[in-house]
Amino acid sequence: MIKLPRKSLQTLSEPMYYVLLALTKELYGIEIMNEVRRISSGRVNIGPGTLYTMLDKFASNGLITRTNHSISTKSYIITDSGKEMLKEEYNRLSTLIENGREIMEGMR
Amino acid sequence: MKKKNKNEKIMRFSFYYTELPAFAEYLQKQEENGYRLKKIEENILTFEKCEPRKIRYCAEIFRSATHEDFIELCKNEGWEFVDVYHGELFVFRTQDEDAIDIMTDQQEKNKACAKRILKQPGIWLCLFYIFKDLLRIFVNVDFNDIFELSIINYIYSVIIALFFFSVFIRIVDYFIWKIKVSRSDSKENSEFFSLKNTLIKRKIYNVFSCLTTIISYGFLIYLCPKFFLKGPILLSALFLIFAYFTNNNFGEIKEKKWRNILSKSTKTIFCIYLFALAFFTIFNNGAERLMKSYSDSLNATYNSQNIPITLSDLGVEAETFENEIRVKGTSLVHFYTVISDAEGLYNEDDDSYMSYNILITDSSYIQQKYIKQILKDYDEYEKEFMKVTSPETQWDYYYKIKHDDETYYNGFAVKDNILVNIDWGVNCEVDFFEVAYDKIFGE
Repeated sequence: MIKLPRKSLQTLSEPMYYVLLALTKELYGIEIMNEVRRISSGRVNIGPGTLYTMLDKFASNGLITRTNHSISTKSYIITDSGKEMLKEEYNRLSTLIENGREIMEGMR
Repeated sequence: MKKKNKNEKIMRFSFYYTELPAFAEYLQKQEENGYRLKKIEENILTFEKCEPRKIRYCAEIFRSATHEDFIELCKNEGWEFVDVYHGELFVFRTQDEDAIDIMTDQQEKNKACAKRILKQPGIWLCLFYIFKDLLRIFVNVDFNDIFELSIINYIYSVIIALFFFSVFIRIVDYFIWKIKVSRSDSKENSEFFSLKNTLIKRKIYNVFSCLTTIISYGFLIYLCPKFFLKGPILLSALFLIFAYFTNNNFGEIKEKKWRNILSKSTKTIFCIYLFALAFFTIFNNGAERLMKSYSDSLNATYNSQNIPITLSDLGVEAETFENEIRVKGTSLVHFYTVISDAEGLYNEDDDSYMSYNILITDSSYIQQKYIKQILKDYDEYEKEFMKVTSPETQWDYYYKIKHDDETYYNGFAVKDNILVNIDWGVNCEVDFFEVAYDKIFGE
């Protein structure tokens, strides 16, 4: 089983989810942060320190892989394990929305 | 505060890792007052003069960061790298008020901080307990070295007490921080670490740590001057140096900055040597007492008390003997050994010997340790068989042990704080214990 940084929850946090989404294409540091901002319409901002820590953990857990090891342009891309994790999380979130839809619409 | 030159300011400063935002705030205030942080080395901050300006500082812990990658990433977000401390505490600054915080995940931030806080006491305590057990492999459990064993235990107790106290402060600080973190509003990130203006407090802690270190070294030197450079003590000292060195040079070891490590270790060892030398000189009057020996007189003295047991009393006329007295604190041991040609107590065909040790101590711990050492090879049944507590003897109790090959006897007698231990050869008719009792306690 893949160990996630949030062991107790076994779910992805919002920044983690967006970073994995962003890394469905090959990107490097600053591009990842910009892509996360774009996907979330500016709602989610990840600091360089948080991103760095996250990338390190994702890589050591096999969710992403480094594709370029030069100092200035170290890029990453999601792995198959990472895609699987992303899909699980997406399905989980979709289930949450679906489960709540009827009730939330009834409340209007 | 010292001024290295007119354009620099050097501050001695120490902080806990729970205080990083307060530390960043402090740096911001310094720059607003016209002093920009230039570098951090151990407990020294070097500031250089600059135009006062409003600026944001950020101090964060990154344990696994490769410097170049991480700095590059932060630079792209508008942060200027200042310095790194111990290879894991990074300090940045930016003039861009809109620059995103370096760490936006508060949980990860707290986790990194917590790990760092607990690392130091955890390593030291583990190393102490592991090393304490390993050291026993090297300690020679010698009948005559009972003092040395006690001293080792004492030293470890003092050292462990010292570090327990110093790490206790850190652990208390950690839990206070944890409680505040758990209670704070998660949006108010800057309020998670609430200590402000902690300079005075840290200085008091530092002074206290120095004093307790000095005192513990003083005890170390005072109590075992004869053994100052001997195996276990030297090992203990080397261990302390090692623990201090690795803890304070962890970052440099990671970065393989060998020149820095060499420079710091030299300073560390030199400081410890100076403290040891100072207290060795001041408190080492015990060494003179240990060097005394009585070659002419067979009497041992302790304070004003004479213990006039002589070999003549025991029916032994000897030409050669060894005589040594060891005094430690309130305990005294007088070792006396006849090594050859003693008339009156031996088998003519065998080499003869006779020895007695007199232990006078107010410490029941030392007395019991001594007894255990003598009786260590016997089981409980045998010990009971040997023990003599008949009302005919005036001692509290005594043991007479006859060895299997019947070449020699060993025994000891105890009354109050005095223990007399005697070894002798066969064919001896004198009741040594009664002679000893009369001489020690008789009028």
